[in-house]
Amino acid sequence: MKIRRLQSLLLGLPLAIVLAGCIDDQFGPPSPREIPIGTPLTIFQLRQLCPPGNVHTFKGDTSVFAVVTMDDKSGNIYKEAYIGDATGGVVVRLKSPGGLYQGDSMYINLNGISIKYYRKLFQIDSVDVDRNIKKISTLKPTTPKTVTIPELNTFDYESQLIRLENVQFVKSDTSKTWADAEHQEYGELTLMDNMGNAVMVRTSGYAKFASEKVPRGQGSLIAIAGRYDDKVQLIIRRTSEVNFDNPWWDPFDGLTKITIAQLKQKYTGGFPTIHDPNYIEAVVVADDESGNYYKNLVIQDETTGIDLKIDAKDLYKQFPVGARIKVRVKDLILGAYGGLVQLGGSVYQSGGFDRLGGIEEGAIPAYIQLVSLGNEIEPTPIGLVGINDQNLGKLIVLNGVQFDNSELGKPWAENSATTNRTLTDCDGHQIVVRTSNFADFHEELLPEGNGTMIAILSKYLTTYQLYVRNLDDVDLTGERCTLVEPFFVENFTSNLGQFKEYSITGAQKWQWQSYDSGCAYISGFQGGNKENEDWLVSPAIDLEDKVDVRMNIREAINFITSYSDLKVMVSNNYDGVSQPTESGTWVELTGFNRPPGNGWTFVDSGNIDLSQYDGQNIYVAFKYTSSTSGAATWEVGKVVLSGLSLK
Amino acid sequence: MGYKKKIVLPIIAVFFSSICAFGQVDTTVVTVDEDFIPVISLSASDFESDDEAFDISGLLQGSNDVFTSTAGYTFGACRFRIRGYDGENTTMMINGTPVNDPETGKVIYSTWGGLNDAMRNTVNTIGLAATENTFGTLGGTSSIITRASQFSPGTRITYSAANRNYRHRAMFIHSTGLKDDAWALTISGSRRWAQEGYVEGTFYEAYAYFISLERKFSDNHSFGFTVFGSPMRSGRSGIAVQEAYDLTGDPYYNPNWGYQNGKIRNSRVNNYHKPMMQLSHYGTFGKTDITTSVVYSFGRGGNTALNWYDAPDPRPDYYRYLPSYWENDDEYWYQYYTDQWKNNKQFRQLDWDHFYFANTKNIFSQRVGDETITGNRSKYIVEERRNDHNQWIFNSTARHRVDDRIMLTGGVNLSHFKGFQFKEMVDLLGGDWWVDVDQFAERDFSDENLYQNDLKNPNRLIQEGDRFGYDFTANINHYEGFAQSEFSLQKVDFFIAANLSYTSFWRTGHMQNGRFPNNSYGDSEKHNFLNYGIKGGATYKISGRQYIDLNAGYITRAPYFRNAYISARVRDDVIKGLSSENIFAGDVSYIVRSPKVKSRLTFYYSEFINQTWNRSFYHESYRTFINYIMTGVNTRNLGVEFGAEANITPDLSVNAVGAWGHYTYNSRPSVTLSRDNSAEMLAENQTVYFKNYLIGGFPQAAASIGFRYNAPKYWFVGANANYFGKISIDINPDRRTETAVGGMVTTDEQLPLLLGQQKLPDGYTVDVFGGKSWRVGSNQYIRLNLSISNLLNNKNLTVIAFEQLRYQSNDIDRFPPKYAYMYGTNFFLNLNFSF
Repeated sequence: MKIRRLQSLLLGLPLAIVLAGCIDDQFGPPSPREIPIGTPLTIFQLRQLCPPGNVHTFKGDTSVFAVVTMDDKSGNIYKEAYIGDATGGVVVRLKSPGGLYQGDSMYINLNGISIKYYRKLFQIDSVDVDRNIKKISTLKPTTPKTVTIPELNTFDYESQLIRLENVQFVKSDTSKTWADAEHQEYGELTLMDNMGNAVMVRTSGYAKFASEKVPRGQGSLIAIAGRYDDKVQLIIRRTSEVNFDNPWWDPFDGLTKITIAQLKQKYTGGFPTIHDPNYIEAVVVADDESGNYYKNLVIQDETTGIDLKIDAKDLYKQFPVGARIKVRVKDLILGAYGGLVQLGGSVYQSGGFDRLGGIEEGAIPAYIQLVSLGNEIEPTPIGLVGINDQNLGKLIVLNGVQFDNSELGKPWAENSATTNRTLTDCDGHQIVVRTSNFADFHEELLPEGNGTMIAILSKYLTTYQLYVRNLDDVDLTGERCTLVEPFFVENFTSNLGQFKEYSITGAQKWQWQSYDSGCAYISGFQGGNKENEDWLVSPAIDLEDKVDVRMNIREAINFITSYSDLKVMVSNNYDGVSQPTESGTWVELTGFNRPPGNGWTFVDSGNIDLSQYDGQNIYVAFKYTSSTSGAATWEVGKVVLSGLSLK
Repeated sequence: MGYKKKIVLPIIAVFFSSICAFGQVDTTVVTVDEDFIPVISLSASDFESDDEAFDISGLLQGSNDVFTSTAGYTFGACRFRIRGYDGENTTMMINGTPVNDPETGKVIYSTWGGLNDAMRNTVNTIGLAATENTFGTLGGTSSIITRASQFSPGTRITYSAANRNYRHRAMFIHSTGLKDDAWALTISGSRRWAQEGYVEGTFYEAYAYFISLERKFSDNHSFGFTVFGSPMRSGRSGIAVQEAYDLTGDPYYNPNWGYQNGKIRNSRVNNYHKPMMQLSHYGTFGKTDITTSVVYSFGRGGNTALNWYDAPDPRPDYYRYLPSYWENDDEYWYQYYTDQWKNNKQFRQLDWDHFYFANTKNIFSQRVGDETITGNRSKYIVEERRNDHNQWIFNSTARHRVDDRIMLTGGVNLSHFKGFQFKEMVDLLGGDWWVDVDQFAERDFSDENLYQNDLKNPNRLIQEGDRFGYDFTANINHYEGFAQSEFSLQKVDFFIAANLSYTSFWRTGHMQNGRFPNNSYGDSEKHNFLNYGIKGGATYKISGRQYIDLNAGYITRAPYFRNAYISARVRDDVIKGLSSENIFAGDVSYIVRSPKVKSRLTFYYSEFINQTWNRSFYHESYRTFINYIMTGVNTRNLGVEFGAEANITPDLSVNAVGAWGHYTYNSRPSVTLSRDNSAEMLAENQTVYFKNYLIGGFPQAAASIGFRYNAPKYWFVGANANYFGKISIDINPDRRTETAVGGMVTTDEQLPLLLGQQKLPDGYTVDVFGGKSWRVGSNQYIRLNLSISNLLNNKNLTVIAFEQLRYQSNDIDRFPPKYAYMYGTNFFLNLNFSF
């Protein structure tokens, strides 16, 4: 019996334990909680509480009631939602993505939450959907407000749902996708209306529709009016809200193309608006990236170049160097500044004068279309001597140039103002390099070597000027050339100067005339061709310490019979006092640039090599002969001898 | 056949087997949980599911080979694997019928968890040795004998107390023995439970039942019927990064649980019940024994997990919630998170109350067909990833003794298996419904159809108990035959065996997935494989007490369903070049069996050629969830194992075992990366520079010495000192590719961090055990046993260590390795009464 009892005890004990040892794994729902409302505020009141630039953090229960106008389901915004009430709209920055959906009517308890501005966009920061928000109902529609682009730009509709009508993407954007889905980068596209007003549509590379092509056409669009600093950025919710069913309006329809040279010919003075149905197509050769140009592009076609003034900053982002653009010149304005013809979009008053203003930023799409990028133009090689108005506005390249000795050690521009610096070639020809004190390189010291410079050729009144785009265009690192310096100069400013005239035969003589700011003049014509031989002889020119001597003259010739009647001579053994026909051996100089002989234009000779006379004493003479069968007119404007000094 | 097989009958060594029983159920329960997207339960490592324990430990506990039995229960604590083999390399049988899981090839011990008394009778073979019932594989076989006639009559009731996964166990077994030479019945049952196990937040609730009936018609015919099952639910522990352990000061920190209404609730609950029944006929026809069985098994498996929609990651150890995410970046948040982690327990656990709060106010309007339904859409839910199955097996084996020298064995095995994998809604946590869409696809695609999980039921509202997400059947048919001849000569025993098998599997989709509308629904193409294996062995008897034993085999193995599909959840596509795996293995042993000393020394060598490795994870570079499929993975396992047991006196025995292995990757596998959300191939034929890396995550070397003293007065005491070493981290293949090191120069300081393989510290443990028995009546005994493991409380031994698959090549510490540590000091107390 005892054993039986023990048995039942031992059997029963585990059984009891089994039954007793219940595992508690039943879980009832926690008691419900509510999110308090406290004081309700409208979005307008929120903005009043926190003026631009401020931060306001709520203490205590305050709530804002609103309807979600845009959620993050499309991926176009992330950790954000736009909400709106009757008084306005605001963006809500969420602590984690998702959880709020378009049409949710809800309130946000603002206790502990800050309202503030990011890039001037007003926002409710760090909202926890689970902890701060109570949804009341769903699918509440918000009707978008129909606005115009200029109305949007007042920022009165910030963070609100808006609708634009009769808008289209600018031509260069019509072939794009909404964003760069592959690299997950934002797409920034420009929307324009038929007035040329423009606004940006910004789309995230994470948006589900990022890789879809934008619609080509014109129509209506619903979007949230976002903001970044002083720019409106439209954010679309879904592509089905972009209905561009009407044909795309081409601002270039019916226009014919002309060249820049033809455009410049239209300019006759003042500030005329162009009415001809024309456009030009050109490549940007200088933009505003370095700051040396401001609100200004320089464009160039196969004929020449021109300044295109646009009233906008950061033009290089849209129209960088190499951008081929079409510019509708119809309705634009031509003007001149210091004689330089420019193309702009408006006229304004400054200091009592009319000035040419740029094309308004909003109107860019109506006037300028980007054709393609990356069409770099080769600069035109040119010497300082060959510079002329044909090359104005063109990208040129100068070889063998250096900054003048007097400029060395200085920056490109002084901090206070746009600054001119002098550039010379090894022959001493000079030109002005003009640099803005807003150019990002203006504080850099001028390079001290000799070499190559690429620049835009410009002109102010009669002075040619160069504008450097950036320092990549400047390669002045070679060895400087020692300047060949003039040591004998005769400009015939008011008389024959240092020269003496010898009339060998005939009545006509070398005399002074005022042409070309003064010149030596002779003509054998006096009521008919006369027989003459006349010499114009320099004083003794000492080449003792000179090397590499060359002579430059400037002359004009008309009614020529033969160049042998107009000889430029040199002698190293003339006595200086006798008739030149009686003393010295005269050698004729040839092979230099001479005028055609039938006009009054003065022509520079270029270098006439006299280096064989280095170290000697020489005389230069101009020998004129005429006969009854022919008498030319010969004008010599300048005689300069230059060379390296040994001293 | 000597030592190779022996039926360990219940009569012998009651004490011994009680001790052994400790090892079976108490391996560290941990789970590998990549910290990425929650819906998919694929893991970085093959010890993924704690409950379907794939360890070697339980299998060989009853072996009378000292090495094998020690490896079974002493080394099991550190996840030691004999010869480095995975679970699919051992064959488990019930009364001679193989029952490995056809989907993975692994042995699922939980099927008979808690039935220690009923499942005690085993027949074990080691390595490639000849087996009575099957061809087997290279890691040995184990057959549990559940014939009622084999149990000695009697009753035993047991109560156990422990501080491991469970704290209590109650168990009974009753056997009638063979009554009237006709009937025998054994019944057994148990309950194991704990409100909280060794690890915080884990509960354990398991029952088990077992009935075995045998009817003997004659000495030549007998029918047996066995049914058993082990329904169990348990809360899982998690694996975290070292930072979390350091911050909490708890090497067993468990991120899986949190408070609900002040009560601890675990989000990851295992819930298994897979009963098995077997009808067997044991017949003798002259010199031939034929055993024929029909097995049917079915049941449910599942583990729960949180899922969430449009809400922040609720897991407290998500990498962005760790201080390291902010370190050197934002001092304020770094300090804030450090402080919260250290001092605020609620912060570092789940917040169930918040899940309810968020769910009950998330009013949402969902369009379903033409209707719009408004309700609270759950943001957080508990879902269960189900892995149910049913399987029919027909198995018949015959053994024919030709004469004293020759034994012929042959058999056939037919198996039809259907695995049902789907997700089920367990708890909406206060919300009204969940919408059956793929939220990651929803993020990527505008077209609503593309993110439907089930195009036939678009935008379906899911209630508790509904299936959702994915739903498919894995159909696996396997037919196999084998033949074996064993020869016994005076000096030499030898055998040869061969098998031939045909495997056919296909997928049946029950949902038409939006991303894969044309290859997700219905039956997929069938994939068929013809495989064979040959093996042979010889034992040379140097003397009656010394043997030389030699075995070798070559096996081809059809790919497992789990590895074959790019993404079986959602589509039919299999990996490119799906082909069989080839295995070569051989071993040579020197064995001593004398009355005083038993010992074995074995060298082994094996090569696995053309394995497949298939995981899904979030890839930092592609910024998407990918399927990462590595083919042509070769591994080589070689090493030496030694075991010796000596009886110094009749009362005192000492034992020593040691194992040293060298397990390495032996090829440069090729990798295909495909997007999970579309058919897009992200990369093909990338080379993984895997050769010569160590296979990591478990000790490749281990040793133990111990003694046992059996006192005449029915008490005993013993102790073991154990060593574990040569542990290295389980490596992430993607870090060993040209893409990963691309952009780094050879002198980059980050290069060794990216490519190196971390060595983990070696460790020592000491286990002690003792017991006493009292005779309280005729044939009535009370026995008390106590076992204390890890007496020195060593908490530095890693039992799991792996590199996360998600990584950032220029900031390796962003997703650092994850570790799990061996339990500190723990005990198991056993009190039983038998009569």
